[in-house]
Formats: sequence, C-alpha cells, structure tokens
Amino acid sequence: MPGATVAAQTKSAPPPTAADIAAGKKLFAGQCALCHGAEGVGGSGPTLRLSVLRHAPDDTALLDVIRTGINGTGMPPFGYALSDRSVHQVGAYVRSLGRTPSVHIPGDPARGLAIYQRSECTVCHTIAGAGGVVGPDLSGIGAARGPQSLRQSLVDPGAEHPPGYLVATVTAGSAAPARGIVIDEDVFWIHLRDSTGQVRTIRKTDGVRVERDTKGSIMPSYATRFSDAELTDLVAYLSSLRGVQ
Amino acid sequence: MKRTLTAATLLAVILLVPMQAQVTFSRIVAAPDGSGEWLTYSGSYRSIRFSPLKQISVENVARLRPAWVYQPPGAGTLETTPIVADGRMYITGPPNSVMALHLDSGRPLWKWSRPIARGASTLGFGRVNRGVALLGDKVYVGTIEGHLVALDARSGIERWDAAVADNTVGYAITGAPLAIDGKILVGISGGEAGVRGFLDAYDAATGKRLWRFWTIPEPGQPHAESWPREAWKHGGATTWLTGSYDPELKLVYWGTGNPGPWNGETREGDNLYSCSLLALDPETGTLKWHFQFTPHDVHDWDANQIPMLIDATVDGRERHLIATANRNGFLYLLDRATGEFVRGTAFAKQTWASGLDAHGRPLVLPDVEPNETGALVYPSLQGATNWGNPAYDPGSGLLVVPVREMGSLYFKAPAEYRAGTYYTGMSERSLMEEATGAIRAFDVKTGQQAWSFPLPSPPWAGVLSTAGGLVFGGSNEGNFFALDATTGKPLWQFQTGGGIEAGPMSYAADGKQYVAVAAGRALFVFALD
Repeated sequence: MPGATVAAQTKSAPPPTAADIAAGKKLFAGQCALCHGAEGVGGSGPTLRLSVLRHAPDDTALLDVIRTGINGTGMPPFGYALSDRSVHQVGAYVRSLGRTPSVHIPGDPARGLAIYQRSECTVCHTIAGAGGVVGPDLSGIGAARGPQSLRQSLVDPGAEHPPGYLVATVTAGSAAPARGIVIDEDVFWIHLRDSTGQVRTIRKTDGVRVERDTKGSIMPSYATRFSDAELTDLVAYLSSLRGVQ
Repeated sequence: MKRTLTAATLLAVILLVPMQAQVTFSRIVAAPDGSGEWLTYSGSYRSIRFSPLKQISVENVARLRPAWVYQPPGAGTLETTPIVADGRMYITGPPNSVMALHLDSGRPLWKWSRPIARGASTLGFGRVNRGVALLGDKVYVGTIEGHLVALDARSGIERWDAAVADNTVGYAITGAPLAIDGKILVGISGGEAGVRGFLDAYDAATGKRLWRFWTIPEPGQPHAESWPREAWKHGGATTWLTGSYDPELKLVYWGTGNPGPWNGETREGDNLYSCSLLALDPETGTLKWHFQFTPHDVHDWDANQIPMLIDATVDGRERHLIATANRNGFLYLLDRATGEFVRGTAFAKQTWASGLDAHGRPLVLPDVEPNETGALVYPSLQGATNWGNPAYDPGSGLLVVPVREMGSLYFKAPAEYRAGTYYTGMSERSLMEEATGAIRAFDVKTGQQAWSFPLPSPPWAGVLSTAGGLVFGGSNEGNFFALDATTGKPLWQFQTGGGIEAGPMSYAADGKQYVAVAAGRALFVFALD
C-alpha cells in the first residue's frame, strides 16, 4: 500500500536541514510556482502560506499530494518525476511557507459582496448554490486561487482560464460564427455554451472551421468598468469564498 | 446474421467446433496478405496493418454497423489487438487476462486470468496488455509481473510459465509477444524504473529461455563507451512493443525505449542501444545492425513504435525497407538488410532538430534540454506518435501515421536510483489546450504528405489500411471512423462511448468481412448490415 510506505518513510526520515529547504525552494520556483505563485502566494492554484493546508493537513498527506496529485483539481502528480529526496525537500519547503506570514489581502469583503451583487456577476456565476451556469462556480474560489490571479481574471479574463473553460469559434459557410465555451468536442461534433448559456451543437461537416482561442474568454473585462478600489474590494470578497468546509 | 436452427445448420455448427487450432510458422509466413485471418499483433510479420479484404469499401462503408460487442470482466481500458485464427478471436484484457471468443456469437469459449499481484509495480505505464501471440496449439501472453505464459489454444489451460523478469525492480510485460519458428520473442517495460533492457526468446514448446539480448552493452562489449561509469546498469532501453520479422533475410526488428534516467546529466554519451531499432538473428539473438534515432535522448522519445517492413521504389531504386514513425517527430526509411539510413522527414511539429544529417543523425538545436524553469519543446514527452500503430497500403504506397501535435515544458530535477521506484529526474507540463491530433498519409516514394485528417486531441489509437480503399482510425473521444485512403475524407463513423487506445484490425468469417477495435472497456466488431 503506497500510503503505508509513505507513512513509514516519513517516520524514519530525519528532520529537514536548511540545505533541504533550499533545494526544495529551487524545485518549487521552477515547477510549482507556475500555479502556486512565487514563494507560494497563490496563483491559478491556492496559496500555500497557510499553517494548515486543506488537502495536506499533515506531512504524510503533503508528501502524498506531491507524489500523486489531487483528483478533480489542477494539481498533477510529481511522483513520476521527482526522486524521493526531492519530494521530501519540496515538502519541507512548503511547510516552511506555512510558517511565514500569510498573504495580506487588501480591500473590504463586505463592499466587494455589494459590488458582486449589484453587478452582472450572478448572471454567469454561482455562489453557494445560487446564480448562473455559464462561468465557473465561485463558491470555493478563494481557497482555490490566489488574489493576484483573481484580479487578473477580472481585468484580463482570457489570460488564464480554469480547465473546462476553453473558448472556440466555429464558422460554417456564411452563417454567423458561433463562439462559446467548448463543452465537448469529438472528431465529428462540437458542443458550445455561448454567453447566454445556450448550448450550440454543431456537426463538423465540410467547410466547418473550429478555431480555439486559448487566450480567450466569454467573460468581459472589468478593467475599466470597476475602479481600482472596487476591484480590490471584489478580490477581497472572492478571496473570502472558501467553499463548503 | 439470422439463422434458422434447422437440423442441417445445427450439424454445420457442431462440425465447426472441434476444428484444430494449429497456427504453424509457415502459415504465418505465408499469410501476410491474409485469407481473412489476423495471425500476429500487427497483422503479419511485416507489421503493416494492411488487410487485403475489400468487401467493405469506399462505396458501402456507410452501411457499417456493430455486429457484436464484448466487455471483458475487470476494469480498465483495453489496448488489445485481436488475433483471429481458425474461427476464434483471442483478446487480452487488463491486467492479466486472455479470452477466446467465438466469431459468430461474440461469446467467450474460454477465459484465463491471473489476479494481479498485490503491490505489482507499474512505473511509467498502465496495467494494460496489448495482445497475444499464437503458434501451434498455444496462445502466449505476458503479464504485468513479468511472466510469459503459454496457454492451450482450445481451452486456455496453462502449459508453461516462464519468469522473464523481476517486477519488484520495475520490469513488466505489456506488449504482445512475437512467435517465430518454434520461438516466442518477448520484450519488457520498465524504462522509467531504471531497469536494463533486453529482448528474450523462449522455446515455444517448453518455455526454456533460448537467448537474451541486453539492449545496453556492459563494459567490454561494443558501444559500452557510450555510457559513463555504472550508468549502463540502469539505462533503460526497454522493448515494450512488438517487433517485426523478415523470413527471407531471417532478421527480427525490434525498437528500444528511452535511456534512463530521463535527465541526461549523469549519462553523457550516445547511450546505445537506447532509442534505436535493432536487427537481430532470431536463432541466436546476435545483433546484425542497429540504428539510433535519438542519440542521448532527454525527452523520453522511445523508438518502440512498430517497424513496418515495406518494399518500394525510392529514388528510382527498388528497395527492401523499414518505415517507422518515431516519437521524435521524424518518419524514417531504413534499408532493412543493412540498417542504412535512406530518408527521414518531419511528420509533426518539432522544434528540437534542424533536420537529419546524411546518416540520419539529428542536428540538435540549442536550448532544447530540460532545465529548471521549463524548456518549451515540440513534440511532448509522449512524442509525435506513440503505441498507436501506423499502417501501409502496398497498393497506393501510402504510409499512414497517427500524429500527436503537442508541445511541453520540460523541467529537470535530480534523479536518484532506488530499486522499484521512478528513476526519471524530469517532468513535463503539456500545452493541453492547443494540442491536437491527426491521421496523416505520406507517399512512400517522395515522402510528401498526401493528406491530413484532423483530430481534436493527440490520439492513442492505431490505424488500419484495407484493400477496400479505406483507412480506419480512432480518437480519444470515442470516434471509430473510416477515411477514404486516397483523399483522407471521412466516410463513416461510430461513437463507441470510450476512448480508443488500441489498433483496429480486420478479418473474414464465413465469407463476410469484419472490422474490430477495442474502445474504452469493450471490444467492438463491425460488419455491413
């Protein structure tokens, strides 16, 4: 059983040295910071500057997460790539992040909630079971992503979108192109969800062209619709959404 | 097929049952163009996945319908290619099972399975099996635990069991063995666990090992200097897909996998015979020639892909060739008597080499080695093609290749050898959202692309060419489809509901042509309605 092996190794492993943490930091900067942000402040993945990590409450769980990933999230397995020593070093560095001050998130979540409610956010997004279905459910978005990444999604939504929200434009002859989130695409069919929430099903016959927009989003940019202070409050609100515990 | 069970038809059915399964070596040699049988993993010793059957054609393929579906017990995606002989179909299921199916009913006449050992090691691959070999009255299959097992073809009863390799250090068998004249050749997996690769031959009757060819020379042997110090002991170069055989030249051709670890820092040199094609004398296991596609590979670009033995006029000369589409993105033609490089052209986007030199050695570009912050290189770690087999139509001279268009960021990390664990020191982050796939056809005479049929993601499925002017292929999204071999235009498709990670094949029974493919967890058999 892999779990048992990990536990046994953890018990017998000597405490990490400063050199281990430094080696872990180097690996983290190269491979983990892409999602978790520099020094674990959070990005498209969650911040790791927490004393208790949701999926890794203890060291055994942390090493297991690094090795095998987390199903249903963007966390991939690294067990195929990192040696046992490297896994322990990255684990030691992540634990050291948990002892650093957590990231300060400026802004007022209450004002952010008011902005969220009076704007058109709810048309597309759901929080705690209420809202639209076009965009991702935001109920736990604050636990899943860092504040910088959330701000970027408001200002430049196409820069980085969550898995399952790839946008494509389908053109067929002289008909108006269909643009939307790719719900599913096989060799002969494509299903899109457009900005109104409508599902468009198109058969990929001759002359039908599918263009993926890997840097596109059907969410509008809020860079100019909200002031800088409003964006800060909205990010503070979104960061407070930790999902159902 | 509807049948009224009159006394006459009952008698016919009863008479069919005791038919002896005797697939002799000469029958495999003589039937490369098939009388409707499919006697080896790749359809023939030439491994070109071409069916001479033409009942299903460009004109009528739109009428193709499922005849029956079989779902083997146990969970997991099927990667098997059925073998059909003497009225039976032999398939394998994950992890360690073989079934003999009746061609009319689709029902199992026998099943053999061996529960996978607790804690069995599968480092770098799934708990899969790609098929059996057939010779005489026996069926041969490899197991995840590294055993080669001979079964009675009539009953599935075990005849012998040979321990090929030690699974606790990462060896396993996932590929189909190859039967040649009283011998069963079998390769092994484990290139991500730091094993030392080899190819074995066993006596088909007794299971006694006849020879072993180590794919990495030890000190004192030729090319040992292509490895520093002790690196050869854990250098990979595994043999996990099935090779081909030329009965006239009496040479067996087998591809080898990546050098270990992926991170190349501790193994300066060309690392022979990793990422190579080997030509061996099947009587003795002696190496006749080798060709290395990717010297000192650092991207996991195995050269295990199926070597197709083809005869064609190239540059005005009639030649006996090997065509192989490599994970590194190049499609190669080699002389199969000498291993001489004939031609190599890119068949997918690749950003690691400016081309190949006159001897076929890649001209490697700078900054393509994995680094600490990620080097972007095309193709991805899984390569521009993988175990999904290619096909060749000798009539049209078209080479058909399943193509994976994907790039990756390659990151390096320190690798450390510990028996029975990953020994890689490298990870990748694929550019999934832009990744696509294709089925591409190339004219063997010129190397020019004839057509390209787009797929929404990089495929794992193989392809089949038929004399009916068709190319069959599959997608990760479950589409099984037929293309016009001349134009690449789709003529028919069926949504199987499960990702296709196996190669299609075709056979005939009672004068009717069938096409079979494993999709998801089921085997589908199609015929004209």
